[in-house]
Amino acid sequence: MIHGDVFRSPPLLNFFCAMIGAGAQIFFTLLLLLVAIVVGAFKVTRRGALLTNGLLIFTCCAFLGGMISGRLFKQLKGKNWAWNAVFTASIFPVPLGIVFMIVNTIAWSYNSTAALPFLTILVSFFFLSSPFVMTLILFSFHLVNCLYLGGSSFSINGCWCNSWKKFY
Amino acid sequence: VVLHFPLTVVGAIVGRNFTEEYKPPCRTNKVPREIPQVTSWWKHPTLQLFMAGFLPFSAIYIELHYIFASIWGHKIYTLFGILFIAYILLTIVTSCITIALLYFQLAREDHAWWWSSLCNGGATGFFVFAYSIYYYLHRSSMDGLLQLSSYFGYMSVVSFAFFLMLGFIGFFSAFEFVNYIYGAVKTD
Repeated sequence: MIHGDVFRSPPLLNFFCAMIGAGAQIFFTLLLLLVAIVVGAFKVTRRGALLTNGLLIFTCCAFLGGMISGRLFKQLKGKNWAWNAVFTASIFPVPLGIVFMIVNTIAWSYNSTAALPFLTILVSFFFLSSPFVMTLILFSFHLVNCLYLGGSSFSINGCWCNSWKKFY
Repeated sequence: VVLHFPLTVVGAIVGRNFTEEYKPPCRTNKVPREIPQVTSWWKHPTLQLFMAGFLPFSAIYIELHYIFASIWGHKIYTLFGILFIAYILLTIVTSCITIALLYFQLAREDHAWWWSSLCNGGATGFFVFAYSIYYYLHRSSMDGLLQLSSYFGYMSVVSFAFFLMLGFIGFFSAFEFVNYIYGAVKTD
């Protein structure tokens, strides 16, 4: 009998939960997308409609993915759960971004019209996406920090913490 | 990307806060038990992985052909109702095959089932990638480095998505199954 070992936490628990969470996100995205199409919520034949709606649903399902991942992580007695959230959020989009970069670089070297110009990528990456993401990551971490650890690194954010603490 | 990351974090917070303490049906021993050596060739994990991928893949094979033709060819995809049914079918087949293989694995006293259930569920992703290679070589007329790189780059991402998605399904059904059978076991 192996009942003493079945519920031992798996190795690399952090990555495991992240993969489960990301998988759940993709699963629910596809499910909702297909339901939306079958019900007839939007016209598939319009150019780009599928991709736009898919992206929208994917983003909304990030919540579900994070929830499932965090839940599993807690159930399996994981520590350092903030990293778990980071992994869950990045385990699918990061490879996608890397692949996009590589493909775009090759297309760029072939002077293809389909490729985004190098400068556009650079600008959009460094000046639009990164600051936004960094700010939001910092904000999330700060929120977490205030809620659970009781500390605050910026004095100006103290008011948020107090209001959130009262709320809880 | 901008919304995606904070939403995941918020979801993680919610999931963490609204989860009651998980009580597994059985206590976990201090010392891990040794996993016995695999005895016969048909019980080998690699072969099981192959089997776990092959069955769900055969369920979506036809659909995959149409999807490929519409993405990389010039066809327009219209059969979304059938695709929906195929998707449900894929989910059911994956969860069933994962549970069946999990049962065999537990029967041979291999208790490291977390990762193996994930991989068993997700094995269809490897098949999707293999099919994409086949499609590239025989069904399409693509050539040149540019098309090669974009095709295989995006197909690897799609296969990875398949792997994650079906891995989730496989793991989830396996988790329910393990909870169920070990809930029925009477210990101490």
